[in-house]
Amino acid sequence: MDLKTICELPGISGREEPVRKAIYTECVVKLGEENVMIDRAGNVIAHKAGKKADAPRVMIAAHMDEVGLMVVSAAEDGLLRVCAIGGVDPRVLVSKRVKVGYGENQIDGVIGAMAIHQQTAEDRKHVLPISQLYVDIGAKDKAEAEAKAPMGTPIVFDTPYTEFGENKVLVKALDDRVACYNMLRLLDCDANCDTWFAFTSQEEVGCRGSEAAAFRINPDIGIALEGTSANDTGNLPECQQVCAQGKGVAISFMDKATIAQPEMFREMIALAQEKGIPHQVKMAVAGGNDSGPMQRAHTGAKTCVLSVPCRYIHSPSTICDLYDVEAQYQLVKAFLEK
Amino acid sequence: MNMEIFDFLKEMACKHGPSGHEYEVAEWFKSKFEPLCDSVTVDRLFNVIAYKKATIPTRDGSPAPKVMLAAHQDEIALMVADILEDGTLRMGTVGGVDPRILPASTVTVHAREAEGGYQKLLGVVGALPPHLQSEADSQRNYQFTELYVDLGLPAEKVKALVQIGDLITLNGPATRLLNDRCASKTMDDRACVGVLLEAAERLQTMGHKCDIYFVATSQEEVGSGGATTAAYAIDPDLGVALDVSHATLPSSRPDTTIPLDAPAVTIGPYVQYKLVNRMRETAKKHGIKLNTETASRRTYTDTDSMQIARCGVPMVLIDVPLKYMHTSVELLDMNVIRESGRLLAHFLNEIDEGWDSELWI
Amino acid sequence: MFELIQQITNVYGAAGRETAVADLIESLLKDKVDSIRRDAMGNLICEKKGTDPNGKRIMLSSHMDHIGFIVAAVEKEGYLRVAPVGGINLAVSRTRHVCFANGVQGVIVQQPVKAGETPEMKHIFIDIGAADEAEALSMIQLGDIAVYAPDCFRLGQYRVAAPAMDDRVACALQVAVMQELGETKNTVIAVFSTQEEVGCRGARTAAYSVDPDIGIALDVTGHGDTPETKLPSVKLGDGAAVKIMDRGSISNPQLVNDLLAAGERAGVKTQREVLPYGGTDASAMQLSRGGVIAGTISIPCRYVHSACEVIDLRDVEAAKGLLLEYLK
Repeated sequence: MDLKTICELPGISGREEPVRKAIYTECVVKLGEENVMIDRAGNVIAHKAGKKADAPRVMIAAHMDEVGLMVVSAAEDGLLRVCAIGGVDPRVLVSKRVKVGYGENQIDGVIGAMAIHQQTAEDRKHVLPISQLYVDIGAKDKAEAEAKAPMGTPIVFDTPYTEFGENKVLVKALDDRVACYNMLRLLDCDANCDTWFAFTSQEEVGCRGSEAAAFRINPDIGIALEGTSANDTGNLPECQQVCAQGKGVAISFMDKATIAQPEMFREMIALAQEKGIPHQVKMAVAGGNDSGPMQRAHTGAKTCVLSVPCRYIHSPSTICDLYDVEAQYQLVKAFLEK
Repeated sequence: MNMEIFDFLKEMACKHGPSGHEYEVAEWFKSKFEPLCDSVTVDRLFNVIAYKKATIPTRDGSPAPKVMLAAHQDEIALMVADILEDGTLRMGTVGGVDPRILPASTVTVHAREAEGGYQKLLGVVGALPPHLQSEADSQRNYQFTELYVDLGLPAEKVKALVQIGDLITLNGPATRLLNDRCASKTMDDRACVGVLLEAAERLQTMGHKCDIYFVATSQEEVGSGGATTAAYAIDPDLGVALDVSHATLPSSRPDTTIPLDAPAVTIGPYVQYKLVNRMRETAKKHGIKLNTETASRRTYTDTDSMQIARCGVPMVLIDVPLKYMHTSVELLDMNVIRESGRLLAHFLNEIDEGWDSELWI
Repeated sequence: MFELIQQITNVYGAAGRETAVADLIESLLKDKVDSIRRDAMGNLICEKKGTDPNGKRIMLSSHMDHIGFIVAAVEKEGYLRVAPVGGINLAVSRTRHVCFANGVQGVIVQQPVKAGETPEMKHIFIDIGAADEAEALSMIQLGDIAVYAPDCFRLGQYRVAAPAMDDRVACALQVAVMQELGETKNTVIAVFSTQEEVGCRGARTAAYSVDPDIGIALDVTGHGDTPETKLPSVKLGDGAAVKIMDRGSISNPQLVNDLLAAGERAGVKTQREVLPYGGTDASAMQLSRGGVIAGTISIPCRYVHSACEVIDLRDVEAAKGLLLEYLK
């Protein structure tokens, strides 16, 4: 599956089914039905046996879900009240297009706000919370809105895949479909390890899927593949940039979920150096991810996080650099084939 | 259930069971489940686990699906954190107790628990009266550090009887109100254990293809510890949690409450959307009114820990509407307990070998 | 006991970097227990078999890790920008002497903040004496962790101050208990855990692998006996504190009674502890697998999470007496 297709599929946390179906189908084609399962948490788990019996069990995780919105109710005038699924900054929502619902029932919507002319000076200072923003699907009243988009209907950003600038891609949901894309490519690699590919659910609402997947797989080594914040624009000093685009895969020493075992962290850096794979150290302790559940499942595993630097994550417009996408793929491939 | 619901609620409210100290209420619930189930145990964390084996074999001889149903039996409470020179007691909290409900409340101090059995002392929560406070101070709520329990005893007697760590529970006997409504402490969430008993009773005659584990969980009010370990031990294929949710009040914000007269199901990422739809269809089929509400992330119920037990558990959350949560006058409609029990019994009756086909795609 | 505490608090061991502490403890216990192993999280797990094949498995857990500052970036001028590892209190960290695992020394500095602005971690840097970025990176690497430099000293007759007293004093206690423990009916597994300060992460995997019936955390607790402090109602010198509750766990009531009774039998002073904040490895042990009977024995400690954490040796002796009696 190409990056465009996988990013444009809708799948908010807990409602990943369009992504799950596409990934499951591709995994079955590549590895056969007997090596692929959908577990009781909605994860897709694909297994590639190791070449040796005593090879370590390695779990690679990338999450299928994206942040988005969910319909809470319809107002009398037919506007939809919504809540955020995952961490969505309300400041990025106004004046954006969204897709309401999945599949055949999917309809378009927009998020508006009172025109600037009608706002007071005081109004302009305040951030409108999500509880005061509405999705407008053009419904004329409450009954029509409820029929088209009942309570619980998932909503995703509508940002089509666009290549622009130098090597850059603009699309929704790069966190973490960019890693799902790489993981699907990795299914073909010539792995030495006993490798378990976990396409996880519900990462954005607290790493729920990976708790279940890590318990089932019980890995010796866990590698989380992420799209992480690149803060490299706006003329900031280098030490505040977290990581920068075009400098390769970002390797983390610590985040909110884990402290990487130092031997894992160093091994990844040494491997990237040895193979000439572009890499950088992520210069911030921020964000949690699927590495937490992997590190602490059963009796514990060694973990690290390898990320593609993405600008403006959790917004409708996320940007990555294809050079970094390739670097993430190459480093994981080198690790598995070692 | 065999008992009249009001009598059940009345007796239930008298049972001692703050989070982490559910031994008394656990024994009581155990005795209630025993006539209705195949085996009942109380585990290390005081979870009551009542097992009812499938009564109808699966068509293809496959193992019966395992269903875990959870409602929590623990109650919020207070604890003696310090004994002051004058014999009044400073309080710590066990679970989320709102200090605004405490001034002038009567409480029970459970003293000398260490020596087998305990003595119940009546106490009143005191604070500096408004007459003696500045105008500004009397306009704000009391903080925990300004409240104390007065046992009406001389300091030396208090020090002889009471120890740091003794539990303090709210007093709130069940009161019957108009229109089948009832107010009491510990409706959150023992009324939902009542729903489990109601369902268990209906299943005596209905039959079911699934193995059922009714669990009165412990420590929900301090982070769902009981549900975490019970779900690990049971390893269910699917789960239903039952907890109370806020019923509509005149001042409540839109989309944050549900009507008092019917149960609801939660929609959101912590529950399995197809199982939720299944529950809604069951309700429709049997003429049971079932509302819906949303949770964008955590549900703050046993659902959250059950969903990630072992290899994952697809969940449904049933909400019983309740007014005045975490007070000694938690108010609900007793008909909702009956109807929720009926809903649950039908849901279990209809779970069969094909329950999980196309669950995720 | 002072010498043992001094020895154990003097070793470098930030959260996630506990190997040196584990090496020292392993050398102290290797002839005293039946088996010693480490897991992927770096926990040191020391097992002493009981005589009764049907005996219970009792897990003790004290944590080896210490709060610290992880190097996230290096400035052109050679200053280190850091992020907290565990609950760092900035107010007590300014111009503190810190050190790294490889012996590099540094000073924590807070840059000037604007009027009305609250100092945050972003205003903090570490000066390691490097002239520029290249020199700094020749001394340390991104991801290295600095901790308050070792400085263990006596305070009056019974008291001792040191950084990392939380929780090395309990490691020392646990070492002493395992050294002196005779034959027991039950199997005792002493776990020296990792990463407690970032959320009891080590104890979680250790408890899973040990699979105990009973779990007892050994940790420090707050105090209520200095000016303007009230809770917990625990005093230095008043003995071992048996925890009834904190924010992380509610101790099993029967275990609380058993521990207090053991203290009485041993003739040591005990106090009852209700802590309105905090948590210990007991929280992880209690919820392991199908549930564990769990509780905590605390050493009262002043100025927790500073470079001068103060304990009273009499409380440590009391805790040792209590534990030896309980385990017997």
